[in-house]
Amino acid sequence: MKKIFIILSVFLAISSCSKLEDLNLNKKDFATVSGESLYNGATLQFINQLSNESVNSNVTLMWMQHLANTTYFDESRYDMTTRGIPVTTSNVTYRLVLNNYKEAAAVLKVQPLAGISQAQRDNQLAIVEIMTIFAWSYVVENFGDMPYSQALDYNYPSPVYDDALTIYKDLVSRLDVAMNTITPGAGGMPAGYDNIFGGEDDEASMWYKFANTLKVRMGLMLYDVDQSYSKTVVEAAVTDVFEEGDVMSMHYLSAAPNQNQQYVDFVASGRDDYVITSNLIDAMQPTSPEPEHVILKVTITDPRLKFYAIPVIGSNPQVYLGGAQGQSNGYTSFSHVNPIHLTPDRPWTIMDYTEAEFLLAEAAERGFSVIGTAEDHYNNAVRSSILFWGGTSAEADTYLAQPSVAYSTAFTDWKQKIGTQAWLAYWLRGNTLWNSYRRLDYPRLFAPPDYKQGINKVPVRLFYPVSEQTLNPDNYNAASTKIGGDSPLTKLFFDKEIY
Amino acid sequence: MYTNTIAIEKATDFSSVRLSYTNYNAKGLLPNSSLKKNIVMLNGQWNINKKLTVTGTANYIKQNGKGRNATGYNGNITTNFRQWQQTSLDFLDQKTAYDLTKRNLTWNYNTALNYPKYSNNPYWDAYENYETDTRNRFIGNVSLNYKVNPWLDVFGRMSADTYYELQEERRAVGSVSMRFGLANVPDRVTSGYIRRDNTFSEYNFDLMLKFNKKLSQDFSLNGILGFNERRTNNTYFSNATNGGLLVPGIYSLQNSRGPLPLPLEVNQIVGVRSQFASVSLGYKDYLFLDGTYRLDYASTLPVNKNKYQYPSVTGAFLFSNVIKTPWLSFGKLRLNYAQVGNLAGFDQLKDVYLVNSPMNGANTQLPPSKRSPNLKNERTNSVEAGLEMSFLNGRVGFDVALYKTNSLDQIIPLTVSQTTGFQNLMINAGKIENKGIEIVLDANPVKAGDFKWDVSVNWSKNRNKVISLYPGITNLRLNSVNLQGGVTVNAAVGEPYGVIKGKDFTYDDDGKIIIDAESGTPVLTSSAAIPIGNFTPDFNAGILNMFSYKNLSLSALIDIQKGGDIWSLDMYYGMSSGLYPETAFINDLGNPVRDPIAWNDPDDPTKGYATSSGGYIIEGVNVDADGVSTPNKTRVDATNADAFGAGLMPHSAFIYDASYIKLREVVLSYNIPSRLLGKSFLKGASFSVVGSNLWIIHKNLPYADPESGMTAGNIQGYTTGSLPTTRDFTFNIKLNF
Repeated sequence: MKKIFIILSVFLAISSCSKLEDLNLNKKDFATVSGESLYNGATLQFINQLSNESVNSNVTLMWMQHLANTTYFDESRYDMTTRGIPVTTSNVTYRLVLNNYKEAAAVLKVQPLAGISQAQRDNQLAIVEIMTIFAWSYVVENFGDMPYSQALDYNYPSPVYDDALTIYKDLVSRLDVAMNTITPGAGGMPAGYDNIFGGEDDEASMWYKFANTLKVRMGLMLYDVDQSYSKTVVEAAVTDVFEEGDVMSMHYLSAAPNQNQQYVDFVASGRDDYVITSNLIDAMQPTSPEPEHVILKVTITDPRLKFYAIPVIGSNPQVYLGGAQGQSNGYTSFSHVNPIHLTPDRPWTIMDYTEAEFLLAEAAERGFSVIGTAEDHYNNAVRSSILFWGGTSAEADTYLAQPSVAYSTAFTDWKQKIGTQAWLAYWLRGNTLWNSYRRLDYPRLFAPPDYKQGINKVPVRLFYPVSEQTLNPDNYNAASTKIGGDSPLTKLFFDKEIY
Repeated sequence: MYTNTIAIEKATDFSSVRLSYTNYNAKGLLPNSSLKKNIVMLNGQWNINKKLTVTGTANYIKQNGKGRNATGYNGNITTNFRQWQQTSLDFLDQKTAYDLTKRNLTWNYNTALNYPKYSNNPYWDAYENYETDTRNRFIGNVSLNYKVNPWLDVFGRMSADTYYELQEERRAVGSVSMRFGLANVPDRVTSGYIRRDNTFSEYNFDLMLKFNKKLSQDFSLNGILGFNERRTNNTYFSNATNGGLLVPGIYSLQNSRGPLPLPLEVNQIVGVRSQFASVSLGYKDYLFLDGTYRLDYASTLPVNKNKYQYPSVTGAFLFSNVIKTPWLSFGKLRLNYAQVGNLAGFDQLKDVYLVNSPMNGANTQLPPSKRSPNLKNERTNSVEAGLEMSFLNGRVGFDVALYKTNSLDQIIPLTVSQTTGFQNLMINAGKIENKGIEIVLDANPVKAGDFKWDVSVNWSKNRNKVISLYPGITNLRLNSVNLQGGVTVNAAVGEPYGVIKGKDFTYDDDGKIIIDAESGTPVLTSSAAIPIGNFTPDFNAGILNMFSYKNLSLSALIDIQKGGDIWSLDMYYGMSSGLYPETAFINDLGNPVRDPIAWNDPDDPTKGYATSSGGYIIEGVNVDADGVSTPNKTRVDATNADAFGAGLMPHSAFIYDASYIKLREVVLSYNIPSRLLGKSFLKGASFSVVGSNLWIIHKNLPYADPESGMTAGNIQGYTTGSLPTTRDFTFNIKLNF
């Protein structure tokens, strides 16, 4: 019997020793983190999505016909479903970006950093809100109607889709609210957490200027659908946009993994996937014989060409030659992206003074009240672009003086003048290019002959993420019908021009 | 491959001991792959006195694996073989190139930089980029049994199962660039090293009081009153080099080109405390009633919901002991009702954040899964009825069982639209019903002297159905990650389980496939959510024949599956890349289909195709603007990829019937009669030959075993890059000394 007691006492000892629920404590992961660290992570994810040009996630540089492929040309032929580009775009933006911005704001509100002023707190929240609005505008400009009012809330596992124009106008009004809470000079995120404007003297003012420039762009996007609204929004914002020398960029690190995405894809990967297209090269140097659809005829070589591209390796004399859009191109036969853009810590431009000037030129042409003429702003934009990429002021003067570039003589349609030069200036910025192209409808780009899935024009939107068809089918079907069919050729809410 | 086992055993009046050693050594299908195991096992029992018995077992297993083949889509050489690989490539040339140079020389070299452009030399992969894994495992227990009196025993046991495992993966300097490293550092690199350390232990402590008493002449009672305490502890650590290796050939985290990423660290502890009781009542020799009751207290559930109880009851009526007739040799009716409760996994109640490599400041994000503080335990309720009878002295018999199981509140990560901000939500899913029937027929058609022939046939059919799921959700997508190719596997509320969805052809009013008149290619549905198949088979069956004559016996097992669909990524891509013979036939004009399209007058297509034209015509109709169908006459060009598979045809063209009939196993064995051994040192000897997977008698899935499926994950109805099923022969020799 004694032995039984020994066994029993062992059991009692074990049974009484612990509350089992204490075992469920996760000792390795973080139950709380700071708001600024969430902001930092979400911003990195967002700018990585905007700046990468992988056939798996963002193919706008191919669609805008700056880059042609060596092997994987399906995406240049508008097959975006095989590699799930819409799914990646949506998942990254909603889950990795927007939901984390939402969480960052919530945490910053309840656990503000100790020892900072109320004004800096407000600035931090405004920065999160401005980037949130920027990310939402990216979603709507890609897809049109998407979940908004019920999105980012697990209580709605199948969120309804909201009208894109309504979302867009709501974003503009949210932008106004956010700008009103910014105090210039009061600082922003703590050191190391704002890798965009963190190094600037007055980061709060830079955020304010970005918000205004974004507002001008969003206002202009709506010109075709609501002119008076567009006018009000743009005119309220044009006075305080990016100024000469302002560049908003992501400052990447030299050590992996948080490196420039184009360095990662072009260099670190060891792959040779891209050459520059003939469309771009031919618009940057005199070409003979003249190709069929030349986007811009120039008599002197664009001063930016040598900074964008390198001559064909081994060519003597050195020549710049572009590959064919949507075809398989030999890597060694055509010009490549200049390696100056492809270093690990190369900053990637999100928005800049050049874009602000192109937007102001557009606003002036729309008849909005803007200081300066369309021509002034156009000249400023082209000059700024040439200087930014490494050209000289004299080169800019010469370039602008040639008849096909000079504002008065370039093209008959002002949209073609601005659209063409914007297309040349937004180098390595696929989504900015795509926005400008859809808004101005210039330069005219054509589908390659072997286009896929019946998509015989440059896509003007992404398909809805295919996962929505099985995970949120009712709302997906309703939205597809409402926007006029889930097709890449369905014109979105802001896009009314027929071409 | 071989297995050797040697065992010694000895029993006395008061003790017994058995010691065995097994050595297992197998070479894999691929070069430089192997699996080795060494197992030592010790069992002992000691009756200390008439009342007290001690038993114990100790089992030590050392396992070393090397060069295991990757499964799924990426990095899997059989994916290449089935989907992309040039059929013109001579692998022996690749072997020679590697053997002579020990370099990654390939057919797809990059002229400028002299490394492979797309694929490594497969021998380079096998001999340089191989994985290794080792596992040291101990399983053992000690128990004490004290016989208090003839009807009461007290039994206590402590058991442990614990192992340490190390997995290492290598990419040698000079490999083609691919994603390799920790999942949250997804950069493509040309070399690297990953290690994963995993320590696991499970401890159980049991105490039971066992009763066994005949209450009266007619009533007997068995019972157990027990307690169990269980702890599992799993510790996992993983890290990888960043940006490649600095020095070739050194596979160590210290050899990282860039700073090491933040490692993955997991420590999961789960505890369960249980009290249970069971009673078995017997009346005479024909009525039996068993009941169980269990109360669990689990560490992983919310404090107010962490105790749950579940009973079961089984009744059996052995009517052959009541109705005694000559033709009925055995008859039993059984009814069973059981509930089972189950707990959540570790740490599913509170959200935690992910921490990524710093971007100057700290870099964090929300996790992909939204956890729930309101989880409750899972339950399954099952009812089963069975009838077992045999006749004619047991020469013919059957066993029929009908069952229905309802799974309630299953704890699952529900895949949701990521517009919610999450990839999945941890939920208690509504109700999933599973019902079926199983039939076994046994017969002994021939019994003559020393010769005997036995047959056993089984047949089963199972149906799963989602009755309810979660508010706002009508479809459960079973594949948690996106499947390559874009099909999905689903269980929608109110529909059968396992619906495969994808794109389909479009059809005219007569059900004919619509072909685009200009391109000659089929017009596909825009929706990728069209049901194109269901993985659930109509039924499964098996037929076992056994023949024996004296000491010689032969058995053969045939397995059958009828129905169930499988979608083949291998065919979808392989037909597109032109790998399969179906892509290189002589067309209707008598020309090789891969020849270019030729016209009588290239400037005027109305004059028709030249007699020398290649390409082929997909059978279907062109529908004009007025909706009038005319037979398609437009040829598809087949000079390039995408002429037969992905890129042209819908998913529905690559769904196959997964039925099969297989000769699963044949066993021939012989026991040497003891009289032949005579007075030699041998006490017994037997030989047997086992052949497994000998013959697929019938199947409909081309070039692959319908059962091989996707070898990674639990997705049914989808196959990609499966290793060929091997036909195995085993020779067993068993000698007793």
